Amino acid sequence: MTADTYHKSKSYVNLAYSLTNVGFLLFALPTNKSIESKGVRITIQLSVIFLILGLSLRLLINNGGFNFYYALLGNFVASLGRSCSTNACTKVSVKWFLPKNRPLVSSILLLGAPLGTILGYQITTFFITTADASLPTEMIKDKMFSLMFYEGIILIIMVIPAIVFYKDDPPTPTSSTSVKMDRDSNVKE
Amino acid sequence: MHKSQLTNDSSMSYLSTDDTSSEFKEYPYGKINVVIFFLFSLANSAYLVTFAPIP
Repeated sequence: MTADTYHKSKSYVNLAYSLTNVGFLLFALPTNKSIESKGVRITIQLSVIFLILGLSLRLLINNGGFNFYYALLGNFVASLGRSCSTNACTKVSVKWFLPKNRPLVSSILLLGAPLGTILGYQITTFFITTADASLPTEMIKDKMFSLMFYEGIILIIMVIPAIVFYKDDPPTPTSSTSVKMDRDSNVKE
Repeated sequence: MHKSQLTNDSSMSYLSTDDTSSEFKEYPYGKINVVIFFLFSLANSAYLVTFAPIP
């Protein structure tokens, strides 16, 4: 339906997902370095900047001749910060939890990614479904913009607590491993 | 001062690996951090599949 609406082949639509993996791979190692040397909080803030920028670009989906390319570019830019959410899970658990609780905390945090895709599916079907394919093209485009807009609002609201309230370090370390991590990151700097 | 912090002195080569020491403790804010990070993680994956149900 998206392919027909924007006069593109289905491979372009599939590219919207593939590009997010390219963005993830490109920034996976720099993000890891940033988490180790600068801390999780700053890395989250950088990640959120990419996310907001990407989601904003997707709002241009109905503009001019580039229309769907904005969605592809937006997905790519947003995904540049995605590696933070997967790479920082163990860092969060090591910094804030005792060794006996770390496996559980890491597992819970890693569940965020698959559950996020389920959420993504649900948000889309709430605004537009394949049953809308019979509607006029302009109406589908309006629905597509609504989807981009409200999904952007929902996701930005979800990430705001991370940039405002996330704390890097507890008042005292939770283990000697945590102390060693602090010492190693200071040595690297 | 915390035992492990004492051993962090550059003049000492020994670093305690006793992670089960009762001197270490968790803080309630850790759970808030987990909730915050979980939401962040959800949001970072949700936009990936925007077009999947409507190819």
